[in-house]
Amino acid sequence: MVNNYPLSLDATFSALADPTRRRILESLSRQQMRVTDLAEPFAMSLPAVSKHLRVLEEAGLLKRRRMGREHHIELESAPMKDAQRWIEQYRKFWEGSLDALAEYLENPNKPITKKRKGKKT
Amino acid sequence: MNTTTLQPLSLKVSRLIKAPRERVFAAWITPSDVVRWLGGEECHIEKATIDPRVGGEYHFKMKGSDAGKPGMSGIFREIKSPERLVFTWMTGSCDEEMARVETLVTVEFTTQAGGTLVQLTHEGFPTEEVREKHNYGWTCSFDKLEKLA
Repeated sequence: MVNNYPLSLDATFSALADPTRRRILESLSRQQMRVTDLAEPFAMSLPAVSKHLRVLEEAGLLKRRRMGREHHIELESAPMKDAQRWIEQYRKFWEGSLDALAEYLENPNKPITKKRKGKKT
Repeated sequence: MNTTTLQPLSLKVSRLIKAPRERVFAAWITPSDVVRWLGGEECHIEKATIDPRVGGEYHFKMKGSDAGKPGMSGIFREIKSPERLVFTWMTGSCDEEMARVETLVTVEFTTQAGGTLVQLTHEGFPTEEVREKHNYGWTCSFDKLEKLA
């Protein structure tokens, strides 16, 4: 596992904790956008949007490309994939656990470690 | 919520278990039960210590390749027998200096035809507020969980 993986995942979760930032990412998941386009649907001032974008940028969740005087914002998918991977690991953990719980409770008489001995006569 | 907002911070898993609700609920807070199923086939718990009251703690000691490492632990936030269980969840850290990660698990138990529906939600970092209260770090337990992948 990459050394800085823990830190970057922490930053990802932190950046994602804000609902506005999650909506911004969602918009970006459809297409790259200009900062002004992003501000519009949220009825936010440009500085307010810029602040959220900076947090997302620092968490490595988006890329900024300058085209002339305009800044185009694009989604950077790698950190999201890390977060998704974390979730998938836990999903497997809990699915495995619930399967085992069902098995344990539904077959209460089934010996798990006990070995069956041969018939005594 | 019916919105299409990204919700990457939580996961939901559910399972219908053919057993009475009281029995299923008890299996979550009784040490001799927990060691039999939690972690499934991949993670094995050697010893469980559980103090099932609000504010009470639980600790799971791992066995096998993880023996000796700090196991899983957390604090009960809500215990409504036999309906609902909310507890924090921290995976063990192999580096003492590393801050520990705290996440939140909510389990709901509903009686249904044929048994009990168990619905589990595991949330990463639910709010900014929770995040500010803790220093998070990440742990080697992920290496272990990765093996499940």
